[in-house]
Amino acid sequence: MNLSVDRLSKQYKNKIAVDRISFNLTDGVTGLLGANGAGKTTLMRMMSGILNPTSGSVTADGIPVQTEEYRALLGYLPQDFGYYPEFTAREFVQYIAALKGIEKKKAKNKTEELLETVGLSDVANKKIKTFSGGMKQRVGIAQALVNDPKILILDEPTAGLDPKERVRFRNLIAEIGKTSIVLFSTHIVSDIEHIAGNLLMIRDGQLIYEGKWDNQKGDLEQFYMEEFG
Amino acid sequence: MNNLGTLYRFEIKKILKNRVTQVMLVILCIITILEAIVPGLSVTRDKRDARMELNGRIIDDTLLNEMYQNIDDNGHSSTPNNEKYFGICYLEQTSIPGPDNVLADYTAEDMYRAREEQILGYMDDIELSDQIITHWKEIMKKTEKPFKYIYSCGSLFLSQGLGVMMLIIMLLSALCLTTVFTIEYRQRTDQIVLSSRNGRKETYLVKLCAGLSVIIASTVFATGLLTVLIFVIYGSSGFDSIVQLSSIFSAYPFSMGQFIIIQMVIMITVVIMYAVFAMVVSIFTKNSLAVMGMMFGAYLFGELDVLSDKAGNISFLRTLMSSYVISMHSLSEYRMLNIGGKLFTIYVASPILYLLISIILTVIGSMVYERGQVNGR
Repeated sequence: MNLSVDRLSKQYKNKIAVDRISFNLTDGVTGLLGANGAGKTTLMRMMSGILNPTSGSVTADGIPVQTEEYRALLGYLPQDFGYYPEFTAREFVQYIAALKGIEKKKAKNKTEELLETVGLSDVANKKIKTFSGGMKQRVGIAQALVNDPKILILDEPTAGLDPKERVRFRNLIAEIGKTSIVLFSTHIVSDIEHIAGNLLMIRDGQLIYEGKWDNQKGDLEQFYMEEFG
Repeated sequence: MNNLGTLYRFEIKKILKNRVTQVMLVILCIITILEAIVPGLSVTRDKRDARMELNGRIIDDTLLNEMYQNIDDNGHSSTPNNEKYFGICYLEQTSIPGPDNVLADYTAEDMYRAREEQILGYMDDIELSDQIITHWKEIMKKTEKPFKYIYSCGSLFLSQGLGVMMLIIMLLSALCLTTVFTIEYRQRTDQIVLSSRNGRKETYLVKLCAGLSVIIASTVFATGLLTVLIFVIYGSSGFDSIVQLSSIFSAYPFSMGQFIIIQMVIMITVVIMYAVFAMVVSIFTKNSLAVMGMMFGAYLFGELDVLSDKAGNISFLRTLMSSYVISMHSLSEYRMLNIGGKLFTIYVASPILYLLISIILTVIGSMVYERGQVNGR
């Protein structure tokens, strides 16, 4: 699978949120680093097909982002993940599975498997409104994975997770990255260092770095502080 | 199809788990029960029984002469037992204009003629075309004269109750169905929904179906409950009485039972329109309160009586408003829609109009929803 972003731009009245960004992603984990307001979320929304670009295109193996075919390949966890307070964790994941076109029996099995993976089996029948922030985030991760996506876009997925959960998450993403394209944004540099084989850095809507990061280039955190501090 | 069924069930769940929906459904039940009981409190059992004594009698000179023995010149009670003549007295008092008329001076034929003259005079006043007036004259011939008296409190209360229920159903649509689409925006689940394979066209259709199911089921349940209660409390008498005994100047050749069936059929088209309007317009506004305001405003416009009947198209537009069409007032509505020389009463024109509005809104809503974006957050 090849995900191609070609001269993607998003302009609002007085601001260019994303400015002619181009890159290609293949299977593996890519980290997206940038300060607040850099354009990460806007970029990810355009790549998820929920925000129309001003210009440019996003395609996956030639399939345009606005199509049902593209959405069938996609798993997305937004930064401000929302849920239905009266739904249980199990109901929510099953609902998303139906939205993603997964057949009922398979959806049921996959839901149980994912709730186990994210450590929510014991509370699967409890309403999401009773969950802590970290637990809600784990529901969000589970729903993003329910259709075994070939393209997984995660906007600040480790926000609210404790260190143990963060390690579990990194391992999960690393595993998924072996057979899918994973793009995740974060402020936590150590997340990138541990699992991202590829790195994109964005500042004021523009791509300022693309590629692998190795020790010869210096300390990533220091570089980040210099560029975005 | 499997997924659509699952999505549909979850959408129903979202609607019914909403506290406001639960409260409104309880209110609907309570209002329905009250609508069955309260109107009957103004007419005691004794009075109802008295008024039913003359059931089946023809309102002719024989009956009128009998009545005149029991009332004074102007139709007021002169004996303790004139309650049974209540309906006939009201018919004659209303048909023959003028407060100083001595009812006993008039025959049955005078009464029926005076009634028709008033109807035709009113048609002249509101400047109906000759084509429409001729049409009504033909329709009025279908009502058999002299009238047969049947006391119709049960059917009258049911008909009036349906009008009140319409208001509650409108509020139910406004309060509960405006959240069908806005919930995704409010709960920030729109990002996940819109980025899912079935999150556009399929979700739109499923949400509409779920909203329509809830509102139609509520309407059928409430209508059924009201009908059963009316039958139990007041009996089935009166449903075969002519509408003219409840709406003196109606020109329609219906029985009360037939009119109620017409009301119920039109109600279904009205609730469909309410539901589609509430859901689709909320996609644009993303604000439930704004849509509620619009719906209530339109309902009030239908209730307003400040427009002159000669106000042309605006006045006629008001007669097509659902609150008016469902009410007993509509039985005395003579204006008709003229399309290519063919005349349509409001009972034919309004449901077609409501369904047309529903279809147009559904199509527009689909176009807007499928192009929806998550912006500005």
